[in-house]
Amino acid sequence: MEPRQTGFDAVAQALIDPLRRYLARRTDAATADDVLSETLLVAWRRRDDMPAEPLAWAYAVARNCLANAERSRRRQDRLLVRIWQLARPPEHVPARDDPDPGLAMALARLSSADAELVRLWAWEELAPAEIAQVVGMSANAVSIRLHRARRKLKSLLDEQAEGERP
Amino acid sequence: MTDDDLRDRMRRADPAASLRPLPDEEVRRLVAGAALDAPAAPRFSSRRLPVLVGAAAAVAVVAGVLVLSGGDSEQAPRPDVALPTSAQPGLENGSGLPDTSGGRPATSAPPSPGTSTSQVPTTTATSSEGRKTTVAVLTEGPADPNVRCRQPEAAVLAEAQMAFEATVLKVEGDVVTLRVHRAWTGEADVVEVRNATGSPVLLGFEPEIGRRYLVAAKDLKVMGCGYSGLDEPALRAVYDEAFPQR
Repeated sequence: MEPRQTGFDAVAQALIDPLRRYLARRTDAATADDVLSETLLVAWRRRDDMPAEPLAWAYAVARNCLANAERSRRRQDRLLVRIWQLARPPEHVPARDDPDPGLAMALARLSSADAELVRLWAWEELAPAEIAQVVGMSANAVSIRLHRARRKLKSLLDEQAEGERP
Repeated sequence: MTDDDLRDRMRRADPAASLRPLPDEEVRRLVAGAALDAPAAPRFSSRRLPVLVGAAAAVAVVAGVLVLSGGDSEQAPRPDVALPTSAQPGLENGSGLPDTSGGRPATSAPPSPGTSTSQVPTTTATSSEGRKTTVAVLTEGPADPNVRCRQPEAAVLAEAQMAFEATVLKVEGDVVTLRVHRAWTGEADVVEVRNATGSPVLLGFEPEIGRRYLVAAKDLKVMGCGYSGLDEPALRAVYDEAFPQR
């Protein structure tokens, strides 16, 4: 018979693709690869803390690892970052291959925390309680903020649509 | 615009939509790498390691669930051979086990008739999520150089209480740490092999970091004579035959 997978392997293998998608949505490919490895390492070390439904927990680990990677990169390239910030255009400029530049611009006008709630809801398809686990807020607070963030995003998109009408 | 409209629009712009799933082999490699100290570990290291040895090597299974029957009391490890693995310098980080429970005996395994539990330090601890952490210490009898091994037979291998594929993570002093990927029987996340004798062979098992092995254990002893070795199709076929689908 085929050998069956042992505990951590089976769980971690099922998490890899959701984690890759989570990271691909938030960083460049090279950083995503590094952070994925780091996330798995942390998950392995903390596997006794892993809940029975590990996805939101794994996203939270990835989120922390990504934040650490970005902090580390900022520390290393402090000068470059400063220059980049000075040179940064005030308006969000979507990437050329962005399939929906209007949406990207509208998301950029939300606070980064609110935009992240909307992403976790739409892309990771998490319920408020799961989002709460990822971002470290109460489920109630997430529900309220997510509701407001979606309303604001829709209103920004409506404004864009109005502006585009002849 | 409804919430559903908004979600649909966001999904159409999902930057990960074109991401293809990783091949299974790459997924397995990533997960195996997770247990290495360096997350982006190479698949194979060119570093050749000292070959471990036969007599009285001990295998400690430090995580997962492992059910073993007791062993021959003559072959059971002395208490000082039993490995409370988290106490081994360098192992606790590699295994990622918490100091509070990792590898420390909590309860004894059920003994088979005629076996003294004090000589069979198979231990179990249960994590908060209901997964069990088991530590078992296995020994192997002295290898007799005059005994010529026959080809491994499925009927003999079928008597193993533990049979798994594992990758060597590291070798530190006389302890080899293997990461278990899959098990035909028994269950574990990490296996530690200690060479208690200083002799250079572990039943023909040459631990090389990053390489994958098939390892079987019976009655608290690693099965040698070709039953444990490099993960190769011929040996794997014997494992598959020994443990048919139940």
